[in-house]
Amino acid sequence: MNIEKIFTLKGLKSKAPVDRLGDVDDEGFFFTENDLNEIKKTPKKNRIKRLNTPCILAIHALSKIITDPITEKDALIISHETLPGVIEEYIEDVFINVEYASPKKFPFISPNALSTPIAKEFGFSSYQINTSGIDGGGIQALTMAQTLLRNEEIENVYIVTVDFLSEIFYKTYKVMGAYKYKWPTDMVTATRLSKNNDSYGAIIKSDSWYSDDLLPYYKYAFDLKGMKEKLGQLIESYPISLISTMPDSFNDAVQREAYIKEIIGPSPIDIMEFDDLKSICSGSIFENINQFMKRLKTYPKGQRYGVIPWQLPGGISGAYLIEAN
Amino acid sequence: MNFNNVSITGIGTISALGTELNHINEVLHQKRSLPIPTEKIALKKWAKDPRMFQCPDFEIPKKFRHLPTSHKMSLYTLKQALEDSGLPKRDDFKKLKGCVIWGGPTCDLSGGESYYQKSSSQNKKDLLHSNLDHLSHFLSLVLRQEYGANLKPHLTVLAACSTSHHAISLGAMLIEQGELDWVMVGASDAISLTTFSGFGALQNISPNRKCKSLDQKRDGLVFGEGSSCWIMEPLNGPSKPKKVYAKISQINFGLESYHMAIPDPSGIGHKRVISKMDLDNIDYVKVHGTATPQNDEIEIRALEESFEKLNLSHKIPLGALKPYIGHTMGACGLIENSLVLKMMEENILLANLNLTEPIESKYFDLITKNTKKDIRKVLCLSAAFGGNYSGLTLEKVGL
Repeated sequence: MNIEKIFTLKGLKSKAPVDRLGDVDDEGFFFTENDLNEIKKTPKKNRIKRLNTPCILAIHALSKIITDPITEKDALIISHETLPGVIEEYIEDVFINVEYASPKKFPFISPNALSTPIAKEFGFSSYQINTSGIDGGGIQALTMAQTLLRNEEIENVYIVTVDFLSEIFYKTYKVMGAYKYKWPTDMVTATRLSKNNDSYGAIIKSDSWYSDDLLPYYKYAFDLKGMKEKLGQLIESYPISLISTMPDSFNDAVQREAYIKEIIGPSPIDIMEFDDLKSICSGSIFENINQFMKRLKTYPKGQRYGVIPWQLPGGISGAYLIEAN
Repeated sequence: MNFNNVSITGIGTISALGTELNHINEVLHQKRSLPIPTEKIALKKWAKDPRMFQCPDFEIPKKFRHLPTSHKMSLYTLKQALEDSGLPKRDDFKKLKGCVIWGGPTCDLSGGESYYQKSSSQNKKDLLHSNLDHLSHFLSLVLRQEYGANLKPHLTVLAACSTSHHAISLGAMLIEQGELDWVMVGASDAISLTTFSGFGALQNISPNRKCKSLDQKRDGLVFGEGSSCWIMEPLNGPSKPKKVYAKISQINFGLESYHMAIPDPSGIGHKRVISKMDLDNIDYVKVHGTATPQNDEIEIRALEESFEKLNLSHKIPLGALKPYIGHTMGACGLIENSLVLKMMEENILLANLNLTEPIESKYFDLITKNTKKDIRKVLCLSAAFGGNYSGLTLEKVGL
């Protein structure tokens, strides 16, 4: 699966915005009003009226990577955690007073609320699907893209991830204790994947699995045994130069590096720590791949192979074998 | 997309018609379900008549009874589908590689409501089930814990009323590509105040609470709830299934993005789906048939245009199943297609209920009586808000 282009945009480190998330004393990565006003200036051709903010973010990100006309061989995958944000205002109407439920707002709470204006804007006409998985949303989207690209009918897949924090989502993760380890994050990414060989790089192999230990589906644990086995096979088969620490780990940095060192043993493989591992969002995997690819390109040709291991709550783990062109 | 090696080997379904797929026999004996008043939602003013197609009570183990309705329905159909396929009892089950692909809870807006109601809660347990892809994740955990299944990580699919077909398509691709030995695809939708009030505000609900799909005097949809789950396996896979209901031979998708809630009057969305499909020897067409004034006419006209080129010597039977079970939103594709599979097994076409003045059609027979017929190939269509269309063909194996 070739990676042609990646665009990522993440909020800046700041206090949580009061107007959106209430008066909370947390830090995270948030888009400011100024950021959003700038993004709203993205030129649009066919926009549906009254676009919501997540939709504007998605169109902005895709506009940075879509340069060729979209055809029926182009598929669109959207991964988002934002639906609660889109629906919460409407649901409030419904709960407070049914007769105020607005016909104008209602269509915007459909799971296709993001995809329809995006498809209209860029002219997608064949395959479009949404997925959601918070941290795992980006990874699910990549699995779907890989599956689609094995078909003759699909040449390119565009993945857009939108994380624009809503109060409901924020509160939920706060109560769950997630922000002890990771920070609330606004982020939007757009990625073009294709069968084209003349690309930026490629995910040449991917694997994912449940660890042997059964975990509640909201808990993290490092699957050292599984990782040793899977990464060991990759290290034996490919001239790997670089391996990243766990981009989705709740473990602290020292533990992460120690785990990876134990896995690679005496191999002369460099370890890369991502700039910021503290984001909880579905777009983080794309930012990680982008950073990783840039670093891989500094190695001589023939040695530009690397592995990004990842893990999710519930004992789900995986790894991407990446080659940079 | 064409498939040669994808079969359906187990079905679990719960709908207003009953808690088992065999309820179709009851339907044939005229014990038909009607929308019933529901107290599940408190309504005000314009929505004083909350009649819907509600699921009957069903048994669920005590430890799961605290879960939201969509979870319980999903667990119920998961168990049914597994038992129907006989998969867990096969010697090699724990070696076979499977995966759960489930229509996520945001198709089921009751999930959103629970999210809203519990967002101020400080109880972790309350909030657990509000995560967006919790359902497929949770079902994977159950499959691993209770059945010892060997699973790849789950996928969560959201595409409003086309959710089921998208879930089926991903499962079919993964089977056809040889990535997996079995896939569990499913979707669930529980009755929700948000959906009801939203469609009410759009004036899409039948004022008489009578779903008259394909009738010239149709006046809107009636809600339903339910869940359906399929086990899909390779026809020529490593394991021998007890039975094969049918194979999936084609799935196609089309977008038109005309409007957030209104289909393009030209029918281009359906045409994009149907024009890419092999329509030879279709014995029955199951339409989406919401009974809204816009949808049904557009759907029939798009079908007529696509079938015109076949030079048919006879009319093809065509039907909508929402008058039996209501519109079950994200789950409608799987629930209705399950009924179609049962019709194929029994070789009986169900009559279109409440149909007194059918939409005129040159190439289709909008049947009004249950009809005995050897049904070997069926075209099933779905459509969703925002112009997301899909269609698939089911074929009896050995055609």
